[in-house]
Amino acid sequence: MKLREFSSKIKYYWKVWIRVVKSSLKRSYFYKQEFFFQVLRTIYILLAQIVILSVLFSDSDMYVGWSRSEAYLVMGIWNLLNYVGWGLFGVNLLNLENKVVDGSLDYVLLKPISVAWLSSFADFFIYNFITSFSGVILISYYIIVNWSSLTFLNLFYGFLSLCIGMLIWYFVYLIFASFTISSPRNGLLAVAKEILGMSKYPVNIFGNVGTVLFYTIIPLAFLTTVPARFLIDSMSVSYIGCGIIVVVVLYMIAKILWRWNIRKYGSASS
Amino acid sequence: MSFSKEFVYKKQLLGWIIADTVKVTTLCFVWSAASVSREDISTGYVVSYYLLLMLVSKLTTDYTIESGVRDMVTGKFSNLLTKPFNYLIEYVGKDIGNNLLRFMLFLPAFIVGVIFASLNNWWIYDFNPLYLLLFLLSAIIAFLISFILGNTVSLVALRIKQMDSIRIFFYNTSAILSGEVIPIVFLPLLVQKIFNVLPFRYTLSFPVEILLGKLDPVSILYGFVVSILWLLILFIIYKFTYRYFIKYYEAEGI
Repeated sequence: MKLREFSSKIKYYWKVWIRVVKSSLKRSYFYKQEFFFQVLRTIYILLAQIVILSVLFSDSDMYVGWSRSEAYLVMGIWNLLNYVGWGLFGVNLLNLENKVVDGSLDYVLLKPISVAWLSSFADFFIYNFITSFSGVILISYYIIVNWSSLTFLNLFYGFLSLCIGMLIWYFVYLIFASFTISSPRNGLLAVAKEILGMSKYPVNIFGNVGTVLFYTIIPLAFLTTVPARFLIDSMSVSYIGCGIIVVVVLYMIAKILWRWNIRKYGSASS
Repeated sequence: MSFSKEFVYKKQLLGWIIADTVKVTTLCFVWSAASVSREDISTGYVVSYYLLLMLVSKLTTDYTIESGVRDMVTGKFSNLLTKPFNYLIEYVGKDIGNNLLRFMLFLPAFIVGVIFASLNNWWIYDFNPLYLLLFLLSAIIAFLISFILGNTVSLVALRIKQMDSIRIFFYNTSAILSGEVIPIVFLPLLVQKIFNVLPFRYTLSFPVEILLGKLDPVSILYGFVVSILWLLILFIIYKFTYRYFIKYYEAEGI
């Protein structure tokens, strides 16, 4: 019975999200020049990242134990997570602040749907999605160059850990955004953005202390380094298990903090 | 006015300072790791460069590309046009207020950073009154270039209402070319020469390079000549851009 309820709930949320995507796509049609600039930006980001990595590798074939194509892979995974994240929930959670300040969050609270879900996925930003192709290109580059050494397991675990990375990314963002409800204009999302930005590079650059820190207390390694490692060589499957534990823990924290902050919400319009 | 307005959201400002600190720490690690394979660049240079860069950025940032664009899109820009003085004066005032506030708030983090760097022998700045004077001059020019550049790009909002991509594209471009993401000293000589001709270096990296004493007198003179020339060129470009785009202003809300 519970399983049936759960699956009907999933179907319901899926239908709502498809509607959201359709209306967002219709709206994006009005701003054609935005599309052009976003494509331009994607090319620019790609070129800029290639330049950065070229400079980092200008005097050595290895950078903190990573080869050039491996560094491309880490950056590609980051691009994918970052821009897909912005397209799906990042901008929505950023806009939550305005909803709290002008009181329009009241209307969201009245709807028969999860507030956290609707605050995260109320809109779909196709233009950020376009930029995520820079990540696809960099990951594809790595896969093409190393095709002969890749196994099915590499690809399978790599994809699985990438999905785990996306969930971690979302919950970290949700945790930071939840504080906007009780205390808007706190700048915490800017902090979240920079913290997540640290995973653009392999965690090894932060030294031994940083590496330990990013595998445990601040699990940034599970965003890009672990998926990249799974694609590069065989990593212990236990990392997948650890990743799932991190996701569950972050989900619980996000849920508790979201409820706690909602209780402290002072409606601006009432 | 801008100073007190910004000060209302103290938590937000604090959040931004923390975000900046995280950013500078990451960049220090990235380029320190790269400096290991370079004989001409030390970890001390990278750490000192980024600490000073963050401090300088608090003085030279332009906020018009956000607030000005908002004014133009919502129609609030009309109020500024009816005032008996050029709207740029108001924007300059706002920028100076914002920058001073951020500078003061960042100062404790900077001091902690300098103490930490000194303890690890990573702080390589030597006090020199002449360099300090030249730095102040270059910082003023840096702010003015930043301001004119930001205002010129903002004018596009008079015609195109959806400016997010253009704004972010501009941020990305200036972050790369100003020496924020890649310290210019790490670039190949030919690319360095190209960066030296473009205006972005003079909005951030050039004042820091002067302060660190890594430039010879000829390079400093060259830098000042190029930056002043860019200031004039950008002002002329701004004038033409304004004349072109103001025709498309629809003054929403009237």
